[in-house]
Amino acid sequence: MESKKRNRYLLFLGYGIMTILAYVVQFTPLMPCVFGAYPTPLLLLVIIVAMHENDWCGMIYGMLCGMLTDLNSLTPPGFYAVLYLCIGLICSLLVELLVQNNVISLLCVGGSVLLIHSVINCLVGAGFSAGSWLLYFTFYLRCAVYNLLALLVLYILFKLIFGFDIRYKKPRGVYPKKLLRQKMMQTVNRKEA
Amino acid sequence: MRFFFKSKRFKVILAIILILSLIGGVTGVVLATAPQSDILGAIIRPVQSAADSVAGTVGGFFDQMQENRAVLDENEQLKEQAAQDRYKLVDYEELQRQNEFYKEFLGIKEDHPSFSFEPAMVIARDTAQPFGTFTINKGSLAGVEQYDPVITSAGIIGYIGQVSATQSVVKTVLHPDINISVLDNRTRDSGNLTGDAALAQSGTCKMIYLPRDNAVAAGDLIISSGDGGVFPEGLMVGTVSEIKASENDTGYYAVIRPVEELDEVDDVMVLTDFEGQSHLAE
Repeated sequence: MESKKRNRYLLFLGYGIMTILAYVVQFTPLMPCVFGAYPTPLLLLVIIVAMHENDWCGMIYGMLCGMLTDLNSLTPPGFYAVLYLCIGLICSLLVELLVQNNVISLLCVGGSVLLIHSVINCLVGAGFSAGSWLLYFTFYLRCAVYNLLALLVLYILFKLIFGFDIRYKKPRGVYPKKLLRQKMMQTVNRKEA
Repeated sequence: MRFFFKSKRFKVILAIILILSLIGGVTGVVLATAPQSDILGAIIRPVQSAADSVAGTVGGFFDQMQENRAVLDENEQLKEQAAQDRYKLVDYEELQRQNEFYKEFLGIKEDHPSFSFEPAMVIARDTAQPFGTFTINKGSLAGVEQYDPVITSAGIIGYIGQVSATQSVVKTVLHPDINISVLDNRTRDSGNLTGDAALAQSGTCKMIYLPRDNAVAAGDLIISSGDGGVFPEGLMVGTVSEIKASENDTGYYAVIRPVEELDEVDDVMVLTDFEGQSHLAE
């Protein structure tokens, strides 16, 4: 029990170190610029961590990463904190309730999130002006595609660093009881099989 | 004793001594060298050389050890000295860079004595947006306020969009939200400089509201007019790249290349106060 707790602390320490690295990489452009697009490692970490953690962890981690992003952007204070909190919650719940945690799910969930994020980013940055659409295709969409590729690499790295079997999701009672029971039955059946 | 002197052995020894003395005497006079010495020398020399070599090696080993220790100490001292010199060189280069930076601003200060500068350094860049937004290391604690102009020695590059206690985010001239009242330095045609989503990626912005009969031409210098009180009058903003007809009205707009490549700006000055400044933040 104690070693489990210690592993958990180590895991959080790992998350912390990865977050600091991602922050440095994102805001002091160290990552290579491909066709004018840069990756946003903090958002990628939110997606990956949320997929591996429960909804509370996903939310809080998303909020923290959003707050870091808010530090260096011109959006209203707290904008990215709320946005990333929602992204963390949605990714976590999707893996908890609908899909399994594997590469295909990652590409589906991550791709959708990155696409929505790029649209929101474009609306917040460029607004509804005539050139916004052009900028969306020449910059924001490229960033989304680049991020998706980086997400895949980061996911594999994450699995290599933290092990392929980490999953600490625990039902917290926020889901409908019927759904929860189904989920638990599924888990039991899988274990028996 | 008498027996010894009369013995055969004594006679032989005496004969040998006499012969050797005779040979030595004769050759010493005639050849100036003694052959017995040569013979003995020939036998002894290799042994002597070997002994000398061994002695030299053993002695040299201890000497070498002492020398090595001295060389090591000296090496350490030199290394320390080199490290200190390197630090000094870095400091010197930094000072030289700062000196150049301040020297460039001296001209602006001489032309505009009312300007109050706050030097700042770029510490982060927002790469999620293509408008060159960056963060500087000075905030409200250093007297920086929202809407304070941010300039380099070349001219205006933006204003403070958001300010916190220790850092500020700069909205650059590429951002669509920015609006600077500008005029053509040659023709005095006036207009508004603003960012454009379609132009941002090429690192240019546009000067809008140009009248139909304007005389603005490519290569003209664009300066701030000082209207509105956010930016001071007479600072460079950019140069005209081309003139285009506006799609939304009958006027024209000029594509402007800013005074600096915004991705490469490292040191900036925040104009915390100047004559005619309207404190919008208040």
